[in-house]
Amino acid sequence: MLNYSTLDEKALLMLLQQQDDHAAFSELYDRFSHFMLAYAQKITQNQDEAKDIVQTIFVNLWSNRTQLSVKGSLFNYLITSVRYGFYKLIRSKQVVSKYEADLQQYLSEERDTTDEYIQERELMERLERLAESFPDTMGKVFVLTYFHQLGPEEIAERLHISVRTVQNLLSQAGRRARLGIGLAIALTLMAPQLTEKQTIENKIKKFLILP
Amino acid sequence: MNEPTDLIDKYLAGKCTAEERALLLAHFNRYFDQQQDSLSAEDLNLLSQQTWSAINNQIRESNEPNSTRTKRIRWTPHPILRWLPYAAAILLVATAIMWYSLRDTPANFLQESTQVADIAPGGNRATLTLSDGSKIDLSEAQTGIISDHERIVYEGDNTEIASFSAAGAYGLQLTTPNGGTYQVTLPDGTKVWLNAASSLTYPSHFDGRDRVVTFSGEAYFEVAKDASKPFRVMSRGQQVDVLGTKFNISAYPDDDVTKTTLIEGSVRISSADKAGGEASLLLEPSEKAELKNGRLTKEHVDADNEAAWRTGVFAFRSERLESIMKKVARWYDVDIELQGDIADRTFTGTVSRYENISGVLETLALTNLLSFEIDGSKLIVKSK
Repeated sequence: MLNYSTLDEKALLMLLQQQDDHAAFSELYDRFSHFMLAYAQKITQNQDEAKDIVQTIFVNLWSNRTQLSVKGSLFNYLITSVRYGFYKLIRSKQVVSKYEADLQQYLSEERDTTDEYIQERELMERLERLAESFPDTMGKVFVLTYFHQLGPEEIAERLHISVRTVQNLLSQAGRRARLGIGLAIALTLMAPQLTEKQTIENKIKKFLILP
Repeated sequence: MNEPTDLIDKYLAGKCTAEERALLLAHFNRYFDQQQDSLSAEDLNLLSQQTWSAINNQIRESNEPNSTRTKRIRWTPHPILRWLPYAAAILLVATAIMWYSLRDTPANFLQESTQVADIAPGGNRATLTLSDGSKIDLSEAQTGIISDHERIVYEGDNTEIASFSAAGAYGLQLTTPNGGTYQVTLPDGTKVWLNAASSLTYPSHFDGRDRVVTFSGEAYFEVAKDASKPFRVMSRGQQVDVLGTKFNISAYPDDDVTKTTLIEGSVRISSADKAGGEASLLLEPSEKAELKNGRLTKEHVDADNEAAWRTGVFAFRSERLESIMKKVARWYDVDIELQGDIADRTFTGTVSRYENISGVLETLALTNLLSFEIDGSKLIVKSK
């Protein structure tokens, strides 16, 4: 069935790049915009700036679709683009941003380099851990489909549920959106050390009232 | 030592060393984690909706000055157009004379006038685009290519067109212009005949769980049997899943209907409808599925008729004039304007595609219902 919500990002990118398919573009936005906006909002602490950064990324994705080549996962590509957009934004400002001042301070400090390399972790790892903490299998289905490019059959096999269950979850737009928002917010809440795991789980469950 | 602004500028220019990148990222992550979380689920949802409409407004605005883009692509390529102004002048004079002298014998009029102003049919024209973006104009003396996981050759004499390193899959695209047709044998043995103004994208090697190609325009597919790897054709709003079979798809961006006709075997057609629901149908031989405004329907048809273009004829069976003229426009690479309330009139007939445009026009004129006129680069069709 051509249900855009169950297509993997490779197929969506193909449709976008070769058929100018706006529905595929829209589906990619639905999948990733919450993560990008939550990420951009947290780093900028400003909704308008977050919106501008994400808007620029998607407008470029559409306008340059034919030349675009994404290596690795689209999620990583988009999150990296948010970071890039953030740096561009602060450099375009006349005044020194809070971030730049903080960076100045950081650069003058003594640092333990091994620790810093550990910090270069993938958001994807955080996402996977988050998915584990969600009620029933929905979080896992969501993450496996949209971030690991697995088809409904493979997910069903891996999680010991029926293909129909996987498809049902993915085609329920409202449920899917809530899950995406929940994951996106939880992702930005997630402290790197994971010491406050319990608090985070509680916070997730608070706004994630699942049917 | 690094100044923060220098470091950021280097990052933006893509000139950071690996160490500098790690340093910047480490700080970014630390700073990120220190920031407050101020966004609620409702705020985030609202922000996402606002951003989406802002994106679409910006895309729409930037498209407006370029709205002629598709038109330009449609009309520039064919050299025959250079002759059209002269041809038009001659045809107009001829029309004027014939109009008076032969008003009552339309067939005759066309036979005479089209001898002076005619347009040659399409031929074997196509462009092959490789994964690095380079484009190869394929020989007009050849009719098809064979593509396998190592190289691409002409079907006629095995001349090599391109080759790749054996490992990996590369994206390839075969595109026909208006007035072009070409045939390709894919790496799995599937054969595809592309009609005019069509494009097929496929990998040099089908290495996934299924064989996926994307497609727009019109094509006839003969899919090689492989039960373990379903063959899937993705076009705008529609997906066709097959095992081994023969079928024809017409999915032009400027048509509001996508048609899939099954000649042999069985296929499943699926669509995404506007309401976000799903629809899917199983086609049996001699059935045609139509996808219009997200709705899928099917009917029984003469399947050979639907795929007749591949054997070198235009075959119309109670077909709307608008649809007939779109086919003529694509094959003869002319612009066509229908004047008056004639788009919905239907016509039946068969004409060779390898004749000049007059062949089709003559046949249509035999009905005594239509007249033709050339204005600039445009063929105007009127009611008689």
